[in-house]
Amino acid sequence: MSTQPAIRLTGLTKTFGHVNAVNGVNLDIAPGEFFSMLGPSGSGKTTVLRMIAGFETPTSGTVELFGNDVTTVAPFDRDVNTVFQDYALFPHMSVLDNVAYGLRVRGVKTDARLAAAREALALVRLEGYGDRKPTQLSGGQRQRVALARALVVEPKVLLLDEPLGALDLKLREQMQVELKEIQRRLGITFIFVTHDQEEALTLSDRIAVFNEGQIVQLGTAEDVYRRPASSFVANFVGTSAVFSAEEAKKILGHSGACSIRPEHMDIVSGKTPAGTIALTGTVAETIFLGASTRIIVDLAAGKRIAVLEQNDLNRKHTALGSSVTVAVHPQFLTPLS
Amino acid sequence: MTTVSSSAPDRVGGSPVGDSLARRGSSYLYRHAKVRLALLLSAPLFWLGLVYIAALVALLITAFWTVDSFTGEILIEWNIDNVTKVLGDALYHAVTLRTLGAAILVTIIDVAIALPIAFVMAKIASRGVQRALVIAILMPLWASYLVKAYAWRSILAQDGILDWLLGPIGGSSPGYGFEGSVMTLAYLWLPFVILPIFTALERVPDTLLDASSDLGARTSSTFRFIVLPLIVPGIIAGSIFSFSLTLGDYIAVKIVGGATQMLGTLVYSNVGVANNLPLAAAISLIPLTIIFIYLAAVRRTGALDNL
Repeated sequence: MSTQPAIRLTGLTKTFGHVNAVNGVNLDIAPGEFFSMLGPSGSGKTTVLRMIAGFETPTSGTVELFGNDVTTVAPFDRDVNTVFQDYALFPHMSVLDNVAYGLRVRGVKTDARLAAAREALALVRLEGYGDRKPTQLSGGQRQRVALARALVVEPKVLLLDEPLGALDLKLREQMQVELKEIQRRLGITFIFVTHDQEEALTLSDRIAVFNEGQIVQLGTAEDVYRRPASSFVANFVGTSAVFSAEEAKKILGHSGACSIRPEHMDIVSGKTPAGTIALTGTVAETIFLGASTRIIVDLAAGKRIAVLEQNDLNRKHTALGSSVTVAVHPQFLTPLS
Repeated sequence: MTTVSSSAPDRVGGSPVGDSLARRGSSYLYRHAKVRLALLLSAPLFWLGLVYIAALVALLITAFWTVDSFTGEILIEWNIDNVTKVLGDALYHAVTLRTLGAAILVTIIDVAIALPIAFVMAKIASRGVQRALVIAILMPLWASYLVKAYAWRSILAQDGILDWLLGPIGGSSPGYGFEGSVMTLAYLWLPFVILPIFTALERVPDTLLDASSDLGARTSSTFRFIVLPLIVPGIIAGSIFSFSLTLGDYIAVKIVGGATQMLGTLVYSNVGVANNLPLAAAISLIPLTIIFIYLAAVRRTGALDNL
């Protein structure tokens, strides 16, 4: 990319006592990108976010914002804003005053800032809610207020710390669509922290997968899903059957550790399609998922794998304990480092 | 599998415990909620009614009696001489203003000292330091009031600690008097002001401070717009302590106040030396009225709504 990165992290490290929360993270995030930091809790993704926002000072390494080193700049002097996990709305202020707060402390005149706050509330479809107190709103509405409050000061980068974590599934899906729309409309960089792999895959232009304070894989949603770089990623982002080097050699006749997605294997009756690897086993469990069924198969070679079968017209009946043949399409075997 | 199991044994029929008097009494109380409530509350209500309300009413009534100037006995002759004396006499005006001034000064000093200490305790200190600070603040409360007042007497004394500390920079102890009283009272009531402010600050989530700073507010703006409005109830709770305790105090003033007269010392000398209980009662109505006015003013601001 020829333009300057919106965020550049260089050798970013944060130690709390003896714990290395973040361990040497290098990362460039492009302007206008919807970027996700995905990882289990304690993987360091939130600490990275807090260092970008300025709430934590790195133990070593630098944070650059559009080419300016802001490593030691206070949060109130950074052009980044945060949507907090618990929303952090000011309970003693009305919704409108909450949204206008960033402009108020910047010295914007009352009329101008209230007009801007109303506009921001309209952006998140909360017109007419300005006079309420935060406690009078539902979780989803508070979420939108937090978003409007961060957007009203026109940050160059918006940080979102698991913003949808407290919402129920339907609302979460709806908010995902809205977030994506707003991001596209405003064209600002979104950095989204989540432990929900599906959310990260749905929303992001690129994903950084975190584990133990480090980025273990960086790429587009498709990259990360289709070509997981390690067994950790293979199992954290979606599920995979992971074969160690010996297992791969013994079971698949494939050299080197590899993984495969459940949907890239088939239960076949009779002859296996040409060019596939046939594995025999017995059905240990079937889990009905609606559009598909997850079938757990104990392979004769001594490994348990999951196969995803679409519940379409060709659905095969796989009774518990019956012997089946699993066809593995070798082109989908992903080598692991 | 889906049957609802009744875990409690059925005692309606033949109770294994028998039908003792205690058991019948218990079941009677169980069925009669009002009797239960009456038994529960009668003792505390009796205490409250007799000791608090009755004593206050007696005080109010006594103010409208008089004393036989010759025998010193209280005469039940209804009059308003004591009240008009207290309201009209310049001496009482001066003492009232002085006491009110002391109460306001003590409150301002205490809040000013308590805010930063409480902030450090609630938001900056680690768990261990926080616990140590809470104990350090509570510790003086375990010591006798008199001991502390006399300690201040020696601090304020000529060639005392304060003189010794301030001497090198050209200062000196204010000695025994109004200033000494204010300093001593501010010290005595400080824990009562720190603790409610500390509790209020602890209830302010850290993310609110982060959010404010994130939105561009400098520390001073965060304090003014976010922290202060949220801890006003705590500050007011603390100020009620320092304000009302100062209004009524007489011992500390006696010990470190020198010749300073406060409402408390006037009440004390009228009860004791002058043996004029009705006048003492009339004087003690002044701080009572001031506190009622203060509480009413606080209520009007709405600061008590969130307590």
